[in-house]
Amino acid sequence: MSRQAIPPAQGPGAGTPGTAVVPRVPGAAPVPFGQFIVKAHGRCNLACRYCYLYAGPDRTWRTRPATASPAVLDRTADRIAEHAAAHGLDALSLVLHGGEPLLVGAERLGRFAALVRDRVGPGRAVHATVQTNATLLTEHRAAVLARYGVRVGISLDGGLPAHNALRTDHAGRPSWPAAARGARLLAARHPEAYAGILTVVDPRTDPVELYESLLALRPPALDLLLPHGNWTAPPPGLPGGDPGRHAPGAGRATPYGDWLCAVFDRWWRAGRREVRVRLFEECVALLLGLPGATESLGLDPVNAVVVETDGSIEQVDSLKSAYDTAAATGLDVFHHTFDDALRHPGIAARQAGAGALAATCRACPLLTVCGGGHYAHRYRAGHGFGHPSVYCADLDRLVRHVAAALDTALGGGAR
Amino acid sequence: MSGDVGEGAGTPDTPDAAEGTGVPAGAPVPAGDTGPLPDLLELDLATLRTLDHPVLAEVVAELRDRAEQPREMLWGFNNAF
Repeated sequence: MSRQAIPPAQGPGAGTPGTAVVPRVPGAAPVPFGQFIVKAHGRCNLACRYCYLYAGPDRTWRTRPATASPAVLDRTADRIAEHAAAHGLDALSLVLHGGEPLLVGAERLGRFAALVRDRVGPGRAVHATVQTNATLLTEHRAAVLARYGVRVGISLDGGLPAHNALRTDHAGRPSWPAAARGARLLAARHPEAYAGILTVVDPRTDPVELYESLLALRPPALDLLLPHGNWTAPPPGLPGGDPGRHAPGAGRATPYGDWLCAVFDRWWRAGRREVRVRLFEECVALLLGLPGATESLGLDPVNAVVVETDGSIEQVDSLKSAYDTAAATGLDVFHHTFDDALRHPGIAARQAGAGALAATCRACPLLTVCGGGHYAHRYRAGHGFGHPSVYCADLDRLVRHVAAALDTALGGGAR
Repeated sequence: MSGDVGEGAGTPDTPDAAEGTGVPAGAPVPAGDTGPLPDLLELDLATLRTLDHPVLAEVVAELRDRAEQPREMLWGFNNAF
């Protein structure tokens, strides 16, 4: 295991607020895409109040088709196969996403996964998942997805009705009853197809109660996601404005960090691993000097790309929480390859590691673990993404807490 | 580049602890530790698996192949499993 090299910032105006930077480690080839997020449906049957896609600044969904046409899906499958062959990928991840992808029907999702497998050919594994709010997940649909080898990830903000009060439909009705039914059905009838639950953190909730309520839904894995926000539109309970005033050590409260540490402690001290928690396990991996596999932490290159319902090739869609059209590349699957997308400066920035970070982050002792946190959380209007995370102090709290726990487990000062 | 388009000159500082969110701001905390993390790179994964910590042992068991895994097989997209 070796620590990751930390290159200087690159490009004209590197480190100067508000200037365009094309960060690239000298001589570093782009990492091929390995994860392809296909927007099967561009609308959602829910209207979650904090949704980064439909309740945020981005408006691109309004002029896009609601569903991806057969022509878009066919061309997308071709482009995925082309990229896999060009780069010799042994395996790739296909994520069926939205909106709510089950609005196109489970059979159509399954057939698309089969099409991609057919196009990439034997010898290349396609790990297909669908990310759903579970409200439309019936026994029949779950069976269809399982039959096509599509695993199901569920978005839920906890295992109790009160945890999901913000997850309502367009009429303001709670989604919880239908979502809980879908989650329980999946656990009971198709556990082999159950990928896990994604939960957006709300520090107003009791962390241990929430974690244990998620365990009751029997997921094999969880991830705990910080709500998307930035210095211009800060997350609930956090200050925005000038990043320089809110670095670790500046004395700001860390409600999200505290919440996550409470869940970590409950998980870490359980006596057995009750469930995989992606955020915590990636933190451990990074602390041990291994590469990470999360956008939330670490300096590792992001190798995910999005295809929208109209065939547009886009950057990871969480960027849309920053400003309208933030994820756009100007490319599409009919006219461009995924290699063209790898050359886009926005994609390059997500693969530049420390080269894309503020000087503050690059000087931080937590650099190789925190990695500046999620890219979208570094945004400040008029000043781009070259800042520490709006969650900087919370990430500091969490990483130090996990490091201390790991150090104790390893014998601490006795080593 | 991932810069903003058509954006203004930025916003003035906002007050600490956004009001009306219901998230308890809490009192400002004393300046925290800003020093280096403990050095956790000394032990190899095989040794880590033998430690008497069941959660760590399970996590490490799944990480043992990661060092040799191609980067394109580390899938980090957050908004899905």
